[in-house]
Amino acid sequence: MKIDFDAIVVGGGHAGIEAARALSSIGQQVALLTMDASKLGAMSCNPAIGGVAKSHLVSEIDALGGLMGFVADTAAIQARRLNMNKGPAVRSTRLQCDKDRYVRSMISELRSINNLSIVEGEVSALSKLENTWQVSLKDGARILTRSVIITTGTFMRGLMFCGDDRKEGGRVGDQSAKFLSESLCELGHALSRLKTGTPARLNAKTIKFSNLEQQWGDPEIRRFSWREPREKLPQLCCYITHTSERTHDIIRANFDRSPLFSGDIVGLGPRYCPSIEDKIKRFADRERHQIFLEPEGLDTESIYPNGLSTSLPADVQLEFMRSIRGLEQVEFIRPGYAVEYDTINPTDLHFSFMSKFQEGLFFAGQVNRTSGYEEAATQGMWAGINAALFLKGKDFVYPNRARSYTETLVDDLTSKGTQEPYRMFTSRSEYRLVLREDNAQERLYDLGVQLGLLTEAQKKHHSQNLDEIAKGREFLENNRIRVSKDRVQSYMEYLKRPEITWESFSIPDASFISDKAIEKLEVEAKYDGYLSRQESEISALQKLGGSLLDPTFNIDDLSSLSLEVIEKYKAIKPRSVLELSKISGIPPTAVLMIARAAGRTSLKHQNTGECFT
Amino acid sequence: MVVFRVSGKNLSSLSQELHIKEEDIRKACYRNFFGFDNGIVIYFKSPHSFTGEDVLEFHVHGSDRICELLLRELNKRNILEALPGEFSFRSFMNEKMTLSESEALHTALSVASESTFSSDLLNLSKATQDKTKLIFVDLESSLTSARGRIESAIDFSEATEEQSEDVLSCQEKLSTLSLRLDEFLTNYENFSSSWEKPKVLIIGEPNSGKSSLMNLLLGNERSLVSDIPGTTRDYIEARVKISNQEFIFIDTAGLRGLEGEEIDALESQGIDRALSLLSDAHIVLWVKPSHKPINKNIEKLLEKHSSLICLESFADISKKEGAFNFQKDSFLIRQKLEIELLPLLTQKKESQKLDVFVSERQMGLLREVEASVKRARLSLNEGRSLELIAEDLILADKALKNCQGKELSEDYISEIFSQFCLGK
Repeated sequence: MKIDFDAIVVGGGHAGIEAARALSSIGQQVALLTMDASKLGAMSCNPAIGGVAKSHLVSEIDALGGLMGFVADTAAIQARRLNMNKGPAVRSTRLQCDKDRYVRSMISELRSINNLSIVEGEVSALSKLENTWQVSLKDGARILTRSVIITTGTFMRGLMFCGDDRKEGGRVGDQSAKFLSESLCELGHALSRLKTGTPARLNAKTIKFSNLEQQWGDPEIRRFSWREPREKLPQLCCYITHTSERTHDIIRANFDRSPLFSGDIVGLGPRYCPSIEDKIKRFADRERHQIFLEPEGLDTESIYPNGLSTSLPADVQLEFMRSIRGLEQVEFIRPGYAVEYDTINPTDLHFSFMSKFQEGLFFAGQVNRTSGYEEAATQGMWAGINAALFLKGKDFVYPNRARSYTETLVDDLTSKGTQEPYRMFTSRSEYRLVLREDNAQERLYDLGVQLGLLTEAQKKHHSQNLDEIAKGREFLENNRIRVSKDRVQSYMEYLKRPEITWESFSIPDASFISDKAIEKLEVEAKYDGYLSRQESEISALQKLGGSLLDPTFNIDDLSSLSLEVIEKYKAIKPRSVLELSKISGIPPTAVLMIARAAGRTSLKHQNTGECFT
Repeated sequence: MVVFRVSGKNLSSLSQELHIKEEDIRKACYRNFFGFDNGIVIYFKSPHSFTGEDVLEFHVHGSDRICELLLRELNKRNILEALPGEFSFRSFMNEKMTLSESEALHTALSVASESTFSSDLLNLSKATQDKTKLIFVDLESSLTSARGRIESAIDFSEATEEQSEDVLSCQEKLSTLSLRLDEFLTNYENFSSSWEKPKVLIIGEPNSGKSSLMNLLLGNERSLVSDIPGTTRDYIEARVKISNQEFIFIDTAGLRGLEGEEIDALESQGIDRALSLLSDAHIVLWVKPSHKPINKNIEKLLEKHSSLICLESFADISKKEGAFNFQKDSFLIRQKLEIELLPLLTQKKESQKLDVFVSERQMGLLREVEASVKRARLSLNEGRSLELIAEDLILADKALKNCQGKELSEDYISEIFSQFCLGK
């Protein structure tokens, strides 16, 4: 049988794009299969990339040569740095994008990749013959490949709800993927339903902006990528308004018309992105909720009312919308809706995102029970990397939580699983101070080089950055400032004070240090002590890994372990006590039991309680 | 009587050899043991046993010879002698006990080897465990809600409108938490350190034989002994072991000044000190000279003391029954003290016990919690950035979870969603 492609990526959303890019960077022939090639990388919901913790993911994608950051930079129409009143580890970039330009720019990036083909079509069946996967399309075409990456987002048996109205489809205007679910079930994957929602889109011409509070972006635009953006767009303003008592009354009076409350929607939605009816029901004493009106592009009248996601009937939507200040005469471009879709259970995946049941079958993105463009994209990259390693017959990358949010997400999903759509938070990482937006490239450089994901230009850029930081550090350590009559401190020492920032220095001869380098040096100073604590924790963890587990050990010999523990052990096959103790969901007692049975060193004489928890 | 416990994955062949049938499980069966002795054997079938494995208990006659024979028979059947703590270890490994439970047992058992009072620790362990758990749960929930405030301010900065409110609320929660933790630690520390070596205060009128008693207990000339009243001017402390329980005996100056007799200044200081010690003592031992009338003043003074033991001296002079000769009756006096002191101590401990139990390791972790919370509060006051405060709260959370043998969890996330309306 002649293989058409090394890998086929099913789905052209944020996950699929990064998967295809990673595979092709590692030298594989890839087909990116999409139902509509004019909508690659479409932002189906809100018009922004980034935000707290999500921006960290985007910078990690960029550090490994991915596309999301660069394309968002190019399409940005408003840039804001969040958490500026907090420390550097949690400061996050959020870029609001022109949705059309985002897609156009993404398509041109993808077209420029040599060994990547964009194929239009819908999968009708997926089957495996020995080591070859056959992807059958609805139009009768058959594609043969060695590996398949499923990145279908909300499209698998997607069902849209708007009051009593329901329609098949993964996104308004698009069809749903009807047949793939069946094939996946046959291949051994249990499917379950999740729900998400999006608000109505408003016509800007019918909004009275003059009455509303303005929200501009930062004057200095912070971008994601090390690459210069292809263009710099004019920046737009957002507006802030609030729901009123009347809004709440209208919604309350129509609770019975919401499919969310009637039980028609069975899938669980994300708690951190609740629909407006949900917010009003759960927080009944809140007098008002904040709404952001965000333009969706330079050439469109479409406004995204952030905070008003709903599945109420269209007439109710219009009624409550018009009870909001500024929106008294608003007209819809289209109403909001909820969408329910099939997902797989991520604990059915190996940490490489390969199916535990089927060699060569990978999953990434929303289909793995996550939410968010950034979460999807980074998973796509992870699946793409590991699919490439699979194709080359190499070892998978083991997720290292101390290295990136991406790997934290991978580890969380595959070892703990999730009930609701999973979103990244900075608090999900136990190494929050180490995993920052500013040092993503330093954290992931070695991995990127080792995998062959980085271009020469990116490598050169990184080494220039390192030089700059080193020069900057030398400057800060060797120059002194008089802090009081009889005391002189180095700039570095002085920067350690909580109340001192670099801006307050105003040293003319320091202008040779770039803002990005300064940011990193400031972090070094401010986090001194805290950082070394987390770093020593990481190295202690690595030291513990010294005690190896017997590879011939058979876990079935150990009685009274839970089935979950046995399965996790078998799936991950930890090589050391360290790896074992890092598998979430294996309780310390089980770690002890396995370590005792399979360990080469005597644990009886250690204070084991301290070691593994 | 000696009890042997055998634990293993499969003891069915051994139990068959002893003719134990299905219906005999968990019942005391009278059997012949391998032809050399008769006794009771009880069979606990996995998982319903202490270790969670099959367990056989042999109750045999307590002769060394019989024990030796039984061990030899068991050895023949490939049954090895257990390592110290192996039963608890297996019990823990088989998830019959949590780490903290096995620690509590370990602590109780290690006390048991030195003291005869361990049984009350064990008896109370269920109720104590529950109460202790409650305290942990309480501390944990305040910590979780404090952390929830900080984390939501970090991860949902777009959605939360009032950061200063978060900080304020976190500050409040942390100060309550500190207060509670402080109170608990102080109480517990005071309690455990004071009861480790209970204080016995020896009281009596001058020249009643208090110092002779001390010397007798110590077996050397620790206190100055003479027949001049008022020889012991200050109190003298000595550690004395009675039946493996260590006590601190405190010899005091004779209580002469109570009757308004003339005394010198130095002696008067000694008496004052003795009186102040009275409130601090766990047990009071009143030495009464049997050849003299009862000292009404001392009787009045000790009237209200709940744990009082009397010992009569000068039996050689009075020939009174029940009195002792402090120069000679060393064995009898020790016996008398054993009979009276030990039950009194148990009773007293029982009535004053803090009904919680925390092992040394857990105490260490709780102190870590305290230190981390203190640092977090300090950082809040200094206006440091929130993720650094969160760092300390995470450390505190880790230590508190570790205390309970739990894993770090994401319950603060649920806390965030139940408290705040989020989602931009």
